[in-house]
Amino acid sequence: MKVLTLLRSNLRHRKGPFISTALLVMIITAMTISMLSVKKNYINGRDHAHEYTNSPAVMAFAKDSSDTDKIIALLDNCPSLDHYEITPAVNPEKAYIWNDEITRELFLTALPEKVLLLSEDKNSFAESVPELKKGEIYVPYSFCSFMDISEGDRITAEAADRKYSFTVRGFIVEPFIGSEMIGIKRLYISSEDLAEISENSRRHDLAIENSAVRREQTGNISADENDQEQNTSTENDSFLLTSNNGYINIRLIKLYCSDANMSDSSFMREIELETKLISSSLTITKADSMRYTGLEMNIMYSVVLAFTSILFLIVLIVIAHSIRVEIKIDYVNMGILKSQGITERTISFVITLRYLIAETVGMIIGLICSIPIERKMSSMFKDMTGILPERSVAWGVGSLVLMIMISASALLIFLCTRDLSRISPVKAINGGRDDFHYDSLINAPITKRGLSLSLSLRGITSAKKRYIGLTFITAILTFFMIAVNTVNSTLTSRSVIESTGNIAPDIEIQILDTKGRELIPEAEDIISSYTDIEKKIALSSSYVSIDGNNICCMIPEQPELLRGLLKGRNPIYDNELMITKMAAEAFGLKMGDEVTVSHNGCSAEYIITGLYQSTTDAGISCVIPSEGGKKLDINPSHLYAYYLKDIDSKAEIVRKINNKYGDSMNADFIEYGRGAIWGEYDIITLTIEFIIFVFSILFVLITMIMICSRTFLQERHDIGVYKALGFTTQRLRMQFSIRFFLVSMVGGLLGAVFSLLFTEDFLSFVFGIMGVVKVTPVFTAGSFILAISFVSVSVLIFAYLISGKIKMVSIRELITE
Amino acid sequence: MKNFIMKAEDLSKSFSHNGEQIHVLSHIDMEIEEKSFTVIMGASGSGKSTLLYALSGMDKATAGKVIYNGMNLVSQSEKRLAELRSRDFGFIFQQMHLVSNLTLFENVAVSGYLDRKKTASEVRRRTEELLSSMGLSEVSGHRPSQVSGGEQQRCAIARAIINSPELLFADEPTGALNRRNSTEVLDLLTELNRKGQSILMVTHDLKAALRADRLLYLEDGKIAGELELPPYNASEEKSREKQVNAWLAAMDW
Repeated sequence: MKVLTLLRSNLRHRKGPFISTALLVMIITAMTISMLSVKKNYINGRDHAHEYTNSPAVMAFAKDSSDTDKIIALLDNCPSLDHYEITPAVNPEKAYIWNDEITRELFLTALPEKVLLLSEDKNSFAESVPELKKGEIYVPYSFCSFMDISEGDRITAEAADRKYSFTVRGFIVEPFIGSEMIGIKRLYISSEDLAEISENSRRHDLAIENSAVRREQTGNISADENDQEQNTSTENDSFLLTSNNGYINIRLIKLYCSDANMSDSSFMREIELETKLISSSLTITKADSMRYTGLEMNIMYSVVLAFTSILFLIVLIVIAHSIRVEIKIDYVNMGILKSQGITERTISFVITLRYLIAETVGMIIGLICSIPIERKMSSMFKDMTGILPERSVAWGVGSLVLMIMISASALLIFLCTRDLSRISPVKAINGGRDDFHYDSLINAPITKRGLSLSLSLRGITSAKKRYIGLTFITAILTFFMIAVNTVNSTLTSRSVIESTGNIAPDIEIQILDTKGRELIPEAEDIISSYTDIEKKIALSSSYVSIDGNNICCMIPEQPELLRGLLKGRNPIYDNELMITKMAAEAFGLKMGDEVTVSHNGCSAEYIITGLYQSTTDAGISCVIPSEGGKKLDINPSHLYAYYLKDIDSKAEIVRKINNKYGDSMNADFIEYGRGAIWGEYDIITLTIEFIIFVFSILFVLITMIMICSRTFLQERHDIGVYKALGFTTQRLRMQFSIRFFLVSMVGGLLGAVFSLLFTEDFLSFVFGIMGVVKVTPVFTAGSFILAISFVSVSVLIFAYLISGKIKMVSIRELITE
Repeated sequence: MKNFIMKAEDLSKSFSHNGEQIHVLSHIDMEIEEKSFTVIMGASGSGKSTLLYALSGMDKATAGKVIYNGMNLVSQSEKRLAELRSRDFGFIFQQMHLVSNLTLFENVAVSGYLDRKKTASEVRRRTEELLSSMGLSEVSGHRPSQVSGGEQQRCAIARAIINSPELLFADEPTGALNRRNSTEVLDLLTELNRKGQSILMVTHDLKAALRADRLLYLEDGKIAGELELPPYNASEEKSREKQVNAWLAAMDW
């Protein structure tokens, strides 16, 4: 009963800390539960889609040729193969939505038996899937966002010099390759259309096959001859990441594994070793598909959960501070309670109960808030992944997280309330309590000039312990803001793009046909007429098989210029290869190993000369010099990258090249630095940045309300004295808020130091998800200034607003009647 | 002819408590003479401290006027009143109310720094003089919590007079002190008054009241009686005490 009475009284008189604690916990709960729910719903939605569409362990897109027939015949030798399914498909050379070229590799197939068609509102599946008529097409849902496409839009596919038009009739969930992150896409057309394109393209494919047969008969040919051969075979070579060498008729082979314990990559390796299917086709495993599809979500999930953990740490600091101050302010009342026979344990229990009730209230509201947040975030990820998420709350794992939060808080409160033992009833009854201010040996001087500032400084130096909490809170928030800001700067930094195994030129020229390659010297003349070319890298890329493992391979003509090397050296000779550290670990390879690389029926031995890092294909990639690539029948370079001496005219150069040679090549200039669009990560980093800034400001606000209110209570008497001495309310408010501003500046600077010390680890954590193990952060003065100013100015504004209570302090409070 | 430094006209102060109006001060008319030592006495709850703070502008009266230097303090802005408190008035409280994170020296100097006409070095010099004259030089670098109540109150007096106020308000300045410290503080106030400092003091301590040259008795928010005395002389304290006692007895004290 007495506990209830005390609790009621406590709740009545401690509304501020109660509400603030509830709000802070609400924010954390809303963020955590919504993120956990988003991930759970995505995984459930993805798994359901895979199950419904009967996804295989490996999906291969192989050319429709006699070579593939031979490979398929060998499939029966694979002990782990349960069964396989073959679906005819066509791979148009180009495709457009209205006039915009689709930059993904498209495979058109007939409508399969089981398709997940989205309903009109795209929030559920349609009850039935209407058969497609001639000229109609179903496209993956992710097209909605990255191609801004809607029902009724027109898609045109070009194959073997013919154009085929389709009207978008609906959107499907294609869990295997439907994500925005994956460069190949499967679209559904009517059987009639498929048969027509397939038939019309037969001659085209036959020409390619015949030329390959001729090459086989004449034996090894030089690179020039190889190039020439291809030029004569087709004017419309596909230069994308395909192993199908321009074939339009494709066979989509779904391979199902019989061993549930076997990893997809091991299964794929077995298939490759037995049949060479993997190196002869464009292949993707289910595990890789899931990794690429969920990549953006995993980045956000990790960062948001790391941030909420930090926020929870802040809540614990705030609670600890609040309890300690409360014990000091309420010294007399607590002493009197003790003198009346109420034990420390009871008082501690009441305080603990109050905070836990506040947290529980916050958690309940947070749970409610997490539902719309989850919907919004799921919708954002639905656009990226193309997966329709489930709609539920992650109760299981959520409850566990909330239980951990409650337990950690209870333990902390228990530890903090041990200070109650120091309360002496006798001292309390005499109105005594410790002098709050006397905890400093170093004091700021009080001066006439800048009196308010000097008094503010004295307020800090004479009660440093009171500001430790705020200092750490602002330091942590500043650190997180700088770190997140740096992620963005780093992603768009030229040096970092290069250090992550990519190229970062000023101008890129993509070859669209073989004529384009011949025109490259002329394009270079245009560039040279404006400025000197400092560096040039030409490369091609293709999927290859390393000892049976499928991997994306870059084939540069200047391999020595690629950066991102972690160990060893770049490959230079035609029997050398460099592989990412992530891929080496996944395939069990190390430096110096000799590996067999296969592609398109060709195989050669290579020595691993170096380990590097790259974001290409989420970290699983390798580099073979172009000389070495010739042994694997890989197309010559299709991308030419130029580093310019003077970048001012790059837009003009690009315009001129595209005007003159636009049919055969596509030139583009690249911007670097903040705000530059670079890849799909941009939206994620900006979203994370937005979340962290918004929640940081909310946290600053609420913690400031708690800390300032407590400080105000402690200093109410001194404020009255200053008023009596002739200090105006305005001056006292400034004095009060400047003090918190100064503390937050110190916190901000501490946060900057934390950033310098730990941002690299933070970035490695974030970039590690993308496959980059070592990143040197690109700090910009702007990110430091922005974060420190943001936190400090927020603190200043909130402290000033909260100090409005000073108006209400009457000097009358000093009067003893 | 008497020069009045402050006048109260029809001054009233009431509070609302549970919907009921409580009249603490009721239609008070009074003057404070320049260089006088006026003491307000009265039983607990008679409204003497309320009157002191209403006169000093620290608390707003409900009705009436407080005239100082031709201006009505009741209608002045908070900023103007703050200016008056820093420049024209000095305050001594019963509980001293020194700022706990400032040393005694700083407590005094901060008030001095508010006077824009004085330079920082002038303030420091004046602070040293005052602390020395009050026997606080040795402890000037101490915090309030490190010195005795008497030392704290002497410091509070130094703080109150650093800007040479026109009028010094003292609210039970000896209320929290022992006898020895009380005498020290009262001697200081008497000495200040002798030098021309106008003082308005509230007390219920007879010993303190003896220092006044004018006594006002407050009862139920009204001035019930007034006694004029010659300037204080320690050698005549006993006869003065008898006179004051008799007057207080007449006031039903």
